Amino acid sequence: MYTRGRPTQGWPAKSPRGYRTSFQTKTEDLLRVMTKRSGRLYLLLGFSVAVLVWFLYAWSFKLTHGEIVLGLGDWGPGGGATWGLYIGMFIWWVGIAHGGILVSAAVRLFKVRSLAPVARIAELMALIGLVCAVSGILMQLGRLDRVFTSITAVLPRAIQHSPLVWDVTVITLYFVLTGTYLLLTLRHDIYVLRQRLPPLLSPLYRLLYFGYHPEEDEKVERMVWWLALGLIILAPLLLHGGVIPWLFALLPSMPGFYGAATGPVFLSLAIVSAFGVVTVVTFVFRRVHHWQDIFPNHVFATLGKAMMFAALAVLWLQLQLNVTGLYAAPIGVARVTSAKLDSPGYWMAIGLIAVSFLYLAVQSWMPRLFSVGRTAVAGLFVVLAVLVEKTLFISEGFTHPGFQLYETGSYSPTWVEVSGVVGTIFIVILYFTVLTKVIPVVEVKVLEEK
Amino acid sequence: MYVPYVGTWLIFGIVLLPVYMVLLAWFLGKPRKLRLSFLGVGYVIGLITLLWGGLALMSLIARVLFI
Amino acid sequence: MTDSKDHTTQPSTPDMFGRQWEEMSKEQLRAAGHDPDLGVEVARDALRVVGGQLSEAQFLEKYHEGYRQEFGVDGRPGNPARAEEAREAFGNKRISRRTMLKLAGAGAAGFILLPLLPRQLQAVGAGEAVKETTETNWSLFQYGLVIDLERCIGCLDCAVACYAHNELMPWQHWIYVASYVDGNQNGTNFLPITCQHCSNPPCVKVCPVEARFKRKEDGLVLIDYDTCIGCKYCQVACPYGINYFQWRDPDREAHVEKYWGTRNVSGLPPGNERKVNVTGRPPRSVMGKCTWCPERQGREDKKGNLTCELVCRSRVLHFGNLNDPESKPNRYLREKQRDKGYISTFRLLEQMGTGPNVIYIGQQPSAKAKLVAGPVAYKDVGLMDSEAALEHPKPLWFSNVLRGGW
Repeated sequence: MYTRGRPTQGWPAKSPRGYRTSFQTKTEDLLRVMTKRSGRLYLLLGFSVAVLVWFLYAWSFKLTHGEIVLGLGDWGPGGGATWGLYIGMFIWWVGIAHGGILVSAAVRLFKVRSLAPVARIAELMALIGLVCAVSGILMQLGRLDRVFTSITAVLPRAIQHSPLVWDVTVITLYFVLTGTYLLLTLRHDIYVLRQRLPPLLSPLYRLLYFGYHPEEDEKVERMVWWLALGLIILAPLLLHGGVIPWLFALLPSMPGFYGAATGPVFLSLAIVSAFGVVTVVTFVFRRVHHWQDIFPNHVFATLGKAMMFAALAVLWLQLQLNVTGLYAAPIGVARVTSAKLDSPGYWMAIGLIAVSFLYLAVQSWMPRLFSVGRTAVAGLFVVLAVLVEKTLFISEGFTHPGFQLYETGSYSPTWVEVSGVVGTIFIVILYFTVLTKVIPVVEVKVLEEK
Repeated sequence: MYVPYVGTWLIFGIVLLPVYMVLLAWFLGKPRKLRLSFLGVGYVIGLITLLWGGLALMSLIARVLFI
Repeated sequence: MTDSKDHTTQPSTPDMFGRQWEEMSKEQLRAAGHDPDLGVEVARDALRVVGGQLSEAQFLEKYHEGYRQEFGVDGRPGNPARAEEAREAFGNKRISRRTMLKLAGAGAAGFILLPLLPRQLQAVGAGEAVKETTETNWSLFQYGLVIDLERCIGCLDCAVACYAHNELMPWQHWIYVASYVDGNQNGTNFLPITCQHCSNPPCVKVCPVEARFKRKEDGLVLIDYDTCIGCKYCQVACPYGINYFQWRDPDREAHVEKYWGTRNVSGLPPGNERKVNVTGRPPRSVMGKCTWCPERQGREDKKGNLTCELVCRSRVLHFGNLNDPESKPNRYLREKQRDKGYISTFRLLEQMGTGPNVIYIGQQPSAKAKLVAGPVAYKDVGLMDSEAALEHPKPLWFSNVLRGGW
């Protein structure tokens, strides 16, 4: 297939499935996808909705029968783990959500132009990632019916002393500021494309570009620049490198949790999984919609390099944890560190990250080994690895508590908890599937470059 | 030092600093188009309402269906 | 051992006198929140009254406000405001200068020495050093337990009584009697563990909805069952492992009388009190733990006792106000010390900074202590040892791959 009369580099030799005619611009390509309907689409939508229904069923099963249907238990004499896969999933999704600001800041603040095509997808991911993260917390709560009234009744007092309330506050801020960022940048795009977007949704579009005037672009550019700066400070340093690890790092009750290292470790895992997800999602878009010209190879090369450095940080920080935890550590720390190193799940997670790192490093040194597909696989590996590592971190913290007298506990997630994780993954799939048809998922400015 | 109140300093003195910076930049930065600055603030407040309203709605649904 | 400059923790001894004693007393008074200079000035001016340099009336007037600020009332005999009562007390005789000097001096000496007294008694009686508090809420009345490990025989009567009284589930060990063997001790040893009702409770700090609170009037740490959202963060923060979540609907009716206690979350202005539901087992999906029976503490006839304490056949548990030197636990400590000549006490996990209010008499389990079955098994008394037997759904096939031990 050709665009602009020339074969595009890296195009597959055989002709791709589906119809293709030559397009004038990448914008046209985007609009084509927005208006396209196919059997595949409906199948995916149907399947995602079915999984969503199952997800809601699992949640209501838990609300009906109680938390007994989860694998959780009282730590200590009970020998269980108080938090498990739900909270692991929560931390995992918040980490993934950081991809939004990491890519946007790279593009806007540090002028990394090669990531510009994926900025909006990353920001959209941030929004839904946070929603999925919050659902993890809500599923974990015993009394969902009271959470709004109980929290708001004492918020100004509780914020003074409870790390959970700090968490809720900063997640709200990240969600709201990312949403504002998206709404501000969408105004120009929707306005410019307004004649060519699906007419069915025109009330929505009018709302999105409400009051738009081309003169506002300059001011909005400045506003979102400042937003990006604010968010790059808030999210990595104060959310996933701040209030989220502080939920654990401030508590001496569990030697696996306590300590200043917990913050940097969380952040390193967040960054690697964030880039991993952006890579995977972009790859899926590129494959499914034949968007090789919108997301050319250099996008993946840059994402691969970012993932590589983040993976290196993960491995290095794990080295710090393991050496400190084994050499002459206090008994509680030594116990939980050697339990971690005894678990196959940990080695699987670290192994996946190490393998991805090695491949990405080799790929960046020897361009002829570069492959978009393999980069996406590396992304998938790290995303899976981070979920496993986080869940192990949490459950092993509880099963090896500081109070030495208690025996080691155990934790196994049940179908209800796994349904929660799978459900949130399909929420994201559904979200992107629908949004691709509603709003331009790549910034028009970027599409019209070169 | 009264340790439980570290949260006040932490949130209002450190964590919210980027937010203060953004708001100041919106209102004081050139080009000084206050209409857009207020629009931005409107989006922020609207999204907070959406998020917490959603939470309130979910609490209500949970109460009706399961209690 | 104590820093020579840190006068607030040294008890006074007869070897100290003069300026050293005065400086030390002043620091201790200041640390306790009193005004040392008032007493010193009163004593000095009393001397001037005797020497004729100051009249009685002037003396009384000069310190009237000072006394009222310090004590809330100026109770000195000869105080114009209390002339009527003073006349009755002293039979309407004139008070001589000498008598007044004695009274002023006694008053000054009294309120210098008085705050020291409870600490002294505790230090001597319990055999432990007086600690500088890091508590975030200093309650004048702090309930606490003295647990005599040398008497515990592991009969589990306390566990059964608590289970019955609070209508718990069989796996909820609000008092957990750990049986263990240890290199440092012979045979099987027992360690009953309840909620420590800490003075610096991490569980209260982390609660996002302030359902967990420490009661000002008696220092109990309680859970408001109507506010708790079941996030379980208190269970994460507590280092003692004494929290038990209500994972499912209890399978028997609750008949325990609900005690509607007042709530005053520490450090907040008064007027926030509400009646809250804190006693007995929690409803489903809410956290529960040992409450030290607030339903008893609110009633005159049952005050100062715990269910487990009353049932214990070995006099292991002694409950009362730790800040009162004449309370049951403090008297027990003194008596035991007197009988044995020496006792060893400890508190659990003190290095975590929680300020636990349970004093154990006996030997602390070492890091090598291992839990073993006691003479009475939990299942023998109808309870469950761990939650392994709870009916969770089957673990999934890959669960074992992720955790260790395969």
